[in-house]
Formats: sequence, structure tokens, C-alpha cells
Amino acid sequence: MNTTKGTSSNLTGVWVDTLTPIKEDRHIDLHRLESHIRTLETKGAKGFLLFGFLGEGASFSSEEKAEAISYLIKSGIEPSTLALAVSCNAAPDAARLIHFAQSAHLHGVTLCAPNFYKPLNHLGLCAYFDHLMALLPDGEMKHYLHLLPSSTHVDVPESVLSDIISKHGKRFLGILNDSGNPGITHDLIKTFASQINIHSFNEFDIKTLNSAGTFSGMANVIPRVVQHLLHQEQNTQATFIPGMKVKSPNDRLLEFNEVMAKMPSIAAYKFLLAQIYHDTTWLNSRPPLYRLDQEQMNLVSKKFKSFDLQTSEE
Amino acid sequence: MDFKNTWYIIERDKKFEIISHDDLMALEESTQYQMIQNYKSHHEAVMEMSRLVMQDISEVNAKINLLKKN
Repeated sequence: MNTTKGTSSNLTGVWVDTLTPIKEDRHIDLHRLESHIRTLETKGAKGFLLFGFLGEGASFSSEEKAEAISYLIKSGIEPSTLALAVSCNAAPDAARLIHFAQSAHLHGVTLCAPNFYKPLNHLGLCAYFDHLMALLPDGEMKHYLHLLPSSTHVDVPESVLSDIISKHGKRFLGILNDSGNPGITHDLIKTFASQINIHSFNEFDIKTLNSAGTFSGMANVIPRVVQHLLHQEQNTQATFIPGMKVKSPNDRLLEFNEVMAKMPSIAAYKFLLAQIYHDTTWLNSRPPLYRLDQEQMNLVSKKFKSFDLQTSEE
Repeated sequence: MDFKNTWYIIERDKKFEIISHDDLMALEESTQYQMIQNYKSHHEAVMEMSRLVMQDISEVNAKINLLKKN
């Protein structure tokens, strides 16, 4: 990663912000989760962030998360290809999950700011991370600071990030911008790139970061397009017709963005996976999240047909 | 992950097929197919294949019933 510290030695390839399949009884469908991960790995994904924003992490208990990860590892998924999103409000709960991730030898964990109390002042946020770090043993666990203001409704100001990096920088490998705002990625690069790796969940930031690795939600559906963009390959379309404009990976991401426009992202991604896997179980979410309504499904379906997903892209 | 002993469901010529990793790798480059999913055992792939086929049968039955009604 040329714009950030250490050329992203810690994160290479596409890491999927993995969707979580849900059974009719509202429990995690472990079998489908395993198959989704295997399938994405055969398509070139390098790693999987579990229970992040797209993985509906806020809807599952720590026990459910630990059970799912244990199942995946038992099924032959390499622990080093898994990362766990930790989004607990209580520091001891977060610490317990991090302990579990460490003992399971996962690649790392992402940490969100607590989101129950608002507003939070700088001192309170700094003290939260001090408290959490004090609860953790020294070890090799890799932590990423996950900025997710759209869900947590907590902006972590630069002064807090500075404080965390100065006190606990050795434990943090990166800052993940999951705000969807490329301006924040630019600001993070300007201010912190010399001290810590900067990553983004926004696929359109891949070029800016010129990264060796990225997190991506789109990779649930179009993993190869994201890989082509990451590796700066030009063509994603397998069919070449003389005279036809060959679209770049960036063009295809823009078109895919249009498919998802104005839709609730988790439900829309799940709808698309239900199409690709021919499996309506993928429509399920754990309440309060819910599937797209019929009108939304018709619209996404129509746009996705026009998008014309190629075998070389999925 | 080691995919050597795993199984895939693919869609080729509008039909679902179960194919081993080795056989998939041996397909000629020009072969047109869509990979649906990977499974660690043949049994799991067969179970999923059954579900897909049953789903197709239900969809065709629904279409036939609609035609009969009209």
C-alpha cells in the first residue's frame, strides 16, 4: 500500500465483508455460510471478515459468533483467513470475543466504537479504548480500528485516533474507513498514513489507496471484479465483440453500484446471492432487518439483468 | 484451503452438474459453465443438487398449472 505505512504487509488480496445466511428459524445457517466462504475462496477471495456490518454482526450474540467460527474452522477453513468484527458496547464483552479470536488463531479483529451512548466526548472514547486494551493480554492479535459512523452514529475524531495510535499503536494494524465517504479516506491518509495502515470498505477507494489488500462487500457477489481492480487489471468481461467498448473494472463497479442504489444494502446483497445460488434461503435476515419487498426485488432483479454478470466476474 | 477433494455444482448447458475439483480443473479453457458453489463432500453437493432439481421441478409444475388454468 504505497500511501500507507508498511505497504499493507498485514492485509493482501480481497477480504470479503461476508454476508451471514439465516435459516427460517432465525439462526445462523452454518452450512450455507461455510459453502459461501468456500465458493468465494475458489473465486480468489483471500479472507473473510465475519459479523461485520454486512454480516449483521449487531444481531448476533458473542456465543453465536464463536460457535459459527468454531464450526468453520472444524470444517477446514483456515483460521488465518478469518477476521472477526467486534462491535460490543461493553468492553468486557468485546475483550471476551477478542480472547476467543486470539485463541482460535484468527487473522485479526476489527473494533468499533461503542454505540449506545450519544454524544460521546473525546475523553470518554479514549478512556473506552484504554479500558478495553487493559483487559487484553499482550499477544500477536491484530486489531483494526473500524470506523462505522453510519451504524454506530459515533464519529471517532482525529484527536481520539491520534490518542489511540500513540498509546496502543503497536496493537493496531490499521484504520478501516467504513463510512462510505472517500473524503474521510483522503483525510486519514493525510493525517495517519505515516503511522498506521489505512484501509477502506469503499471499493472506489481501492485506486486511491493503491493497496495490496482491501475489504469489500461487493466481493460477496462480484469477487473477481474487485480483484481485477485491486490488481489493476484492465478487463473483467470475458466476451469480446469487435467494436464493443470493453469496460474497465471501475466501470463495472459503477454499474454495480447503480444496481444497489437506494436499496437497503444487506437485503439487496442477499437478494442477489439468492439469485446466484438459486436459493431463496439467502433472502432471510435476522429481525429487525428484513428482506426486500416485492417492488424492490423486481427493481433490483431488472437492474441486475441489465448489469449482465459475466462468469469471469463472479 | 485445500480444494483437492472438494466438489462443485456447476451449471452447463442450462443443466446442473456435480463435478470433482480435479475434473473441473481438467475442463478445457473454452468450456462454458457457471460455477454455483463449492462443497467439502460429495454428499453435501448431492444434497444441494437435489434441492436445486426439486426447485426446478416445482417451478415447471407451477408454469404447467398456470397454462392449464388458462
